[in-house]
Amino acid sequence: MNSTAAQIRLLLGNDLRLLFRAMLSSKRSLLFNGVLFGLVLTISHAVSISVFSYLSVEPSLETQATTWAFFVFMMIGAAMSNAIRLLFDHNDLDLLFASPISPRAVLFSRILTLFLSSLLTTALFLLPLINGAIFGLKARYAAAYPTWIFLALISASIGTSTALGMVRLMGPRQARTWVQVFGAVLGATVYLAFQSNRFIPEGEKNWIWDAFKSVLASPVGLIVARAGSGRGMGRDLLLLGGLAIFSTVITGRLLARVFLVGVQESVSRSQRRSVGRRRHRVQSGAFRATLLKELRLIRRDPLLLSQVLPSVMYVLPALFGFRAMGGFNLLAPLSVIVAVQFSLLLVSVAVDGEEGLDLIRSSPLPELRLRTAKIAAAMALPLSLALLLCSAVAVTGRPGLASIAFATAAATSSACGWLRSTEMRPSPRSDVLKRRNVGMNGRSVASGVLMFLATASVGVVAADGIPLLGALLLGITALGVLACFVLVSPKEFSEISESA
Amino acid sequence: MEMTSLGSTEPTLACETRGLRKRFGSTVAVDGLDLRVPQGMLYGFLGPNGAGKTTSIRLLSGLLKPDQGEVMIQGISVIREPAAAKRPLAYVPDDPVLYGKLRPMEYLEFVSALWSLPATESQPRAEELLQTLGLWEKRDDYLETFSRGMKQKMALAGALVHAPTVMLLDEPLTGLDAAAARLVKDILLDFVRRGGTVVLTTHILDVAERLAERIGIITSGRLAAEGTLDELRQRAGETGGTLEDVFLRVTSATPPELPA
Repeated sequence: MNSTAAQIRLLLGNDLRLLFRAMLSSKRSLLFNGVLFGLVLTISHAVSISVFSYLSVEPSLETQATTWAFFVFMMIGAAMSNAIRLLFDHNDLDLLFASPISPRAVLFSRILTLFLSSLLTTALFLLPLINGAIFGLKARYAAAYPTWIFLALISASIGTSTALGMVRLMGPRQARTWVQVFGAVLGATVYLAFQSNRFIPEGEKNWIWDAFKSVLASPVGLIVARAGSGRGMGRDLLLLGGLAIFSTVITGRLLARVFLVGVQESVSRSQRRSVGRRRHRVQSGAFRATLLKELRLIRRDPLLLSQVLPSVMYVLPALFGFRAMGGFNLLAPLSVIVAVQFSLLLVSVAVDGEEGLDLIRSSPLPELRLRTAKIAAAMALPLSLALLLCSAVAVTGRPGLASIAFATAAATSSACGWLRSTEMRPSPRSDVLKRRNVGMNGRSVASGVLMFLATASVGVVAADGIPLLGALLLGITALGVLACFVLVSPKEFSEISESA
Repeated sequence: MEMTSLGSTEPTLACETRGLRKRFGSTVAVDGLDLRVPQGMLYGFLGPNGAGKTTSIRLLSGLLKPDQGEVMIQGISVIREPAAAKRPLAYVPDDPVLYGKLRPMEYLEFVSALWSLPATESQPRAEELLQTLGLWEKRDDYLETFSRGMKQKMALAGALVHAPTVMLLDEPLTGLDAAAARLVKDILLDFVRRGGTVVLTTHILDVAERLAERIGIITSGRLAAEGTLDELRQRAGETGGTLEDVFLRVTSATPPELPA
């Protein structure tokens, strides 16, 4: 196959076919997903068109630039999160690089797949917005469609360039983690920005917004806004289109070699660490050895931590805004949420992601000791974070509240961890977090209720409102914790799917 | 002469199964398996693909619960007293899953702890095993960077570190180069010389021919033939044939055609 374009077409066609088949194989039927998607789109279109028609005033260019900025961040975040997987983890790379297909064609096809995934990520939000503006305001807002496409293309190029740049700087393994973290943070920026009104103190709001506006009112921001609203005789749209094509071509042409080297290194680079050939001192005792093993596996898996991070991202506004939202006392209930939520995720990884299940089942070790060690290891990091938050509460004058918050966080985390550990769903370690919501059941609900109770009780105590209510809620939480340990017995490892 | 847990006067067997049956859905994987492996022997378990070798080994190691029948390790029931029965046991699967982010000594530390071995014993034994198996130079690397053969050797180190007396190995030589295969064979023979028992499955007939004192040929979940190589040759009517001839003869014939 000679032409690069033909190669790209072949690869893209194959990628899209696989993507479509993956959608077909989802648990819910294609018809169900289609109907659900159609319903959501219909309702959101109706709302959007009604709102735009009612307002009948075009939003300012700054507002439009802000809206586009949010979606660009979202698309870049998605592109970066997907870039490493698409560029380095796709299982067809051996086949492709052993064939006469050029690395440039492979990279271009991957950029185009990222472009499509960026479009899909924002489709549910942007389709009603754009159509609302077209039908509710002016037809020239149809220019938002090519604007969206160009921005998605630019986002895919930025995502790819960042991923490859980081691979070049820090090697494929490190880059894999940091690109994920960076992508997740960028994606969460939209959410944080929406929440910013709540957590930015009044005195600092004005200058932050002024700085934000000056960025959006810059030539680049206004070009996007003008292109999207169909103003300026299409000049801005042409400029944006040119930039999109230029960034894609430059990324594909210049970074093909970095891509190839990255792929080669991702399978060949040794993970040797300079530990100075220290003699490893073997520890006795099953609990201690299991605890150490689990801690090592969690600590040495930065990808896992980068996947866990976005799950606790929603507490960031409260963390950033504690001064505006009630002072350091807010950190007390927050410590409970962080500890329980984070512990639950890591217990899932430690229990479901146990790689040596056969080894454990063929050993004479009592299961209880192993299970408790796993829970303890999973709780170590979350409780350290909770301790940090509680220490801040203690230092600022409420050591009693800090102690109550930490004790509640520890007790609730262990109870929820126990509940989670009693039902093992073995799966590859890298898939545990993706599959954690599969099979929600009574135990998941009980964990949620317990976390809510614990947070509420500490919150009431922190607010100094009704001491009796705080004590009552703490008592109920303690009973709930006790009930988890007494009433819920674990499923034995030997009972776990024998064919698994 | 020790007594078995069932009260007979026979010597304690390393492994014994009686009327073992295991079914997966409508497929009968093991169908009334009766096996007796004396202490201090290397027993080879042969059979065509899907004959039930791996299921049998997993039943012996307590990883699977039988639908029917009894499994005893050194006279202790794996079903009724699993912890006690598993104490002298080591099991190495055909494709061992190791903890990728652990280093060799950390892996052996964990395995030792599972068998409650004190550090004073496990530390020197683990170091010696790594040196014997040629993994000492790799002691600072994560296991995920090991080749398949090195992982196989690491799993064997894990099996040996807690000083078992019965080893159950599923295709232990798969993926090993000639030198590593020779090393593993020597280690297993040495283990047996010291009184240990090895039950291994293999599809490499040459391995069974050279290593095993007794060979069991399993087909359709049943023990179709069992004995020393000479006994098997005689039973199959191939007195001068190789194990391959015997194997093909036995696995293509129905069990009743073979003299008991």
